[in-house]
Amino acid sequence: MSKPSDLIQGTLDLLLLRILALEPLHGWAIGQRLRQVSADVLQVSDGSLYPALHKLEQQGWIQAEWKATENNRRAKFYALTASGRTQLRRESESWARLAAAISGVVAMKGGIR
Amino acid sequence: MNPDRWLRVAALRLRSLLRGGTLDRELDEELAFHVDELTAANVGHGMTPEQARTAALRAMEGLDQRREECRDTRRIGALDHLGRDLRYAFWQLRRQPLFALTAIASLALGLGANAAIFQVFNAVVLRPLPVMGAERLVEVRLEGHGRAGRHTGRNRQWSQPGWAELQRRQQVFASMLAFSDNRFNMASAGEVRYVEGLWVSGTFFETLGVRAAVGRLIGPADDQPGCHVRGAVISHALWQREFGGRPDVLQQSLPFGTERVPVIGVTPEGFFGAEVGRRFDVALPLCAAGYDRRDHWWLAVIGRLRPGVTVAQAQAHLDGLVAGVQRDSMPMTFTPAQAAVYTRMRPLVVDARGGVSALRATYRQPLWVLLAIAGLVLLMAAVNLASLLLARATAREPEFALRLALGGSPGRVLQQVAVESALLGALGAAAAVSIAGLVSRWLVALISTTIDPIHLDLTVDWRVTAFVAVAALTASLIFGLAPALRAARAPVLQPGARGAAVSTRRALGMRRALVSLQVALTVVLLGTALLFLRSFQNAASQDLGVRTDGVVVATVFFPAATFPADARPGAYSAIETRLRALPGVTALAEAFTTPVGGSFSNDDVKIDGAVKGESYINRVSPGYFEALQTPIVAGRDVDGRDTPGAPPVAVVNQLFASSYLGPDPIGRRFAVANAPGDPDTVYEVIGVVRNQKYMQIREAFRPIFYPASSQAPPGLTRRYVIRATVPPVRLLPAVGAVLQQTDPAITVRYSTLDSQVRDALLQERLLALLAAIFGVVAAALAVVGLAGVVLYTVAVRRGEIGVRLALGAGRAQILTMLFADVSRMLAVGAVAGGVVAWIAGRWVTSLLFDVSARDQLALPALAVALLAGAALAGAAWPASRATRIDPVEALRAE
Repeated sequence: MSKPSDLIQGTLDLLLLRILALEPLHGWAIGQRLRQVSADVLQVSDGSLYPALHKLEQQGWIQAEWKATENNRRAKFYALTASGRTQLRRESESWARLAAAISGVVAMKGGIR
Repeated sequence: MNPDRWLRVAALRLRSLLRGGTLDRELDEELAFHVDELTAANVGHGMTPEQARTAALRAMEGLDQRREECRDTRRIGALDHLGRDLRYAFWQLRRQPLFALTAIASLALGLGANAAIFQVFNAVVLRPLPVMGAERLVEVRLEGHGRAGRHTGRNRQWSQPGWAELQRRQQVFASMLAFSDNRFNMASAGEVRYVEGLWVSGTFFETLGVRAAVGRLIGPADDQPGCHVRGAVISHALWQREFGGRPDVLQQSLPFGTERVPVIGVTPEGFFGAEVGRRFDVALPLCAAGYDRRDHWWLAVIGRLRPGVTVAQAQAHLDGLVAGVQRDSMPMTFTPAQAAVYTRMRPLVVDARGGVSALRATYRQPLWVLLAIAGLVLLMAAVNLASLLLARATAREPEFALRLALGGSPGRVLQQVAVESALLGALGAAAAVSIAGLVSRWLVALISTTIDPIHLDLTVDWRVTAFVAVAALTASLIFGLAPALRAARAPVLQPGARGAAVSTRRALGMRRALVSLQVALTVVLLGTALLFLRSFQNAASQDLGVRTDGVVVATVFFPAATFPADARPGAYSAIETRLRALPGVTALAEAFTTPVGGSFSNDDVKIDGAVKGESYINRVSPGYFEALQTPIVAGRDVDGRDTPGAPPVAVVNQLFASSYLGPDPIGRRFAVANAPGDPDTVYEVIGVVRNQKYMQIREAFRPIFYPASSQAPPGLTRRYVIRATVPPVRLLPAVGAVLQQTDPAITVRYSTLDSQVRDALLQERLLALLAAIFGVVAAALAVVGLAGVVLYTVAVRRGEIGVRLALGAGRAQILTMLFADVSRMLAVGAVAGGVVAWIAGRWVTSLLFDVSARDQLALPALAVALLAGAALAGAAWPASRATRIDPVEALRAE
């Protein structure tokens, strides 16, 4: 499975869950939204988005529903499940710990010239 | 994992398992949507449509790979393998429809037979009454032989006074009920039309906890001594049948004798009374029967235990009060000897959660035997299938070897084979369930007669479902195990003839063992079938003391209004004269009962003031013995001399004469007691006839005396026996016409002596028929199995046989070699089967009629001989193929 090179392993799941926590979206919109909120810093390749979504669906964190888009086309909308929300909280906490730890290491005094 | 998520995931897995195609289409649509959106965005950035689309597809980094990755997310776990195995198994079966059909049909046969018999067994033996708290119900029986007098109904344990005393004294039951069965005639003229009736105590419905579906049920107020029938309760079925389920049923009435009785209520659907195997149509209060004599035995009694009271406590309590009950319900007419026996009778408290059932008592053991037989047939089918699958597994060895070589684990290969077996088992079970309903209804029809219609609730409940599931699983394990083990041990790509030959030989060894097992099972089944056939033959050829063919029995019910007591002798005589004159009628007589006719009357016989013993009684008119062609061996028949005023006379049978009267019976006298204070009735013996059977075919001859019916005041019911040279279809309308012309209100019920005898042989016929069917099926399976193994042997040993032929062995030697092989398989199976058959024969002894110990040895031996003959004949064709092998060709193939 191809992995987005500039994302730490596992963080894609966190990002997808976080975005879907706001509202149900289809795959295309998720990619667009991710780009928007991260001001184009985080870019998930179009190809790797769907395997990740399907994996989350199979794990029961998100659920899918076919609905019409604003352009009146059928699209598969993903939404967070109750257990997905719990999972998001867990992953957010563990991300915060990890980020803090990494920041701590990066912020060590000395060594950088 | 929380349950909500677990459920969702399970549903997703199931969906991907079952709806893979739909999911794939959805995935394509989802990805196409993304590509379209991306293309549109690219066009928005100024690309041409082609450029935009190419760029979009490139951005997906290979649509096919992405699709596979997405599909992979749902392809995880054993469940998915299972789905794939299942699809593969289906494909395998479709590829070989003949094999699939054979396998499923043989399983359906084995499982279906089991399911059907278990359905009946469940309905008769296991299922509780469909009432509230059935587990607290117990029947109170009365053990002993003290019931001399009149008997009515199927469950005649108590007299009305006995029941009243018991109910009054007991303190262990919250409430008690008594009931008896009867038939009510709903036709006001012509041939009778019976509905099944119940006499019920006022406590009947409340003790069972049954509520009315419409109106009200019979209560204590309806059941008072000397009551008048104020209303009848009808069953839900009768409401539907007779009144079309009309809501105004409470304004309807039923004909009852010459009156009409209003319907006061309807019982709920599914309630059939308290007797399993029967159903009631109409219930009337007990008191209306008017059977309150102390020597009239007709009631069954059921109690609902008080909370906390055990069966043992109830038993102890009743043991303590039975003496008083018996003392206060003693029939007045009892002699001191009869009184002593009556006082010694003991109450017996038995579980009645399944109600009372004469049917259950009769058929419990036969049903067990049939279940065992059906179980053997299933085992047989499973073994047959194991043999087939084993051959298939051998043929598929290269496939298994390839899978193992390509890295498939033995476990996965084993699972594949197990799934195939489970699929066969499931398909077989499904087919079995669909035929079981038909077969079980056919079984019930077999034991049901027009006089005794059997009603059983054959609904498939959890017991039946569980039984079929367990049977199917067991069978699948039996037939799936051998091929699965072989598949898992398939040699890993061992090319070349040697490896294949070794494993093929091993498979052959297993198949030979299976054939021996089949032979053994068949010997057991055939041996048992022969025992039951012999038993049936013995019973059917019993000397009843009468010639049954050509005799019609017409039971005629005269209306009281037009046949007052003083007019009866003349009116009856006129009718009988007209009946005798009908074309084809050679003899006509009137009797209380006919052999195996079902009615019965008995009493103690006193000679010179001392009770000598018991005798059956059948009151007959002149010509009865002639009509039944029972020879008079001494003296004369009753005749015109025996008028009401003349001294009472009786004909006796040979056993009566030899038991009670000695060498010179004619002219001797014997007496029968009447009510205390009344003098005994003294009969003079005027003739001796050959012994007749009385109640049952299986009983030994008993003493019978035949008083002259002309000496007793005639009643309103007369049973005519008519011997005729014309068939019943011609005779009955003529008889009916005579009765109709006399009085349209006369009703009549017809049967023939032949059909009475046939009905009396039901149990024997049922066992013989089913055992024979199963035995023949098993034998056919065994012969086919054996022939298959010989055929296979010839194929496997083709090269070897070719060498032998080339080296100068004769055809005869080859045949000898093959038949020696067959004989070994037969011998092993026959010895094992013979021993089991003999033991099985001992187990069913109580169901066999007059089958000697020699027969019990000889018949299994005959089964062995029959099977051996059939098997050798069946092996002849495949064996003959061996002798036609061309040595040159065979060796070249090697």
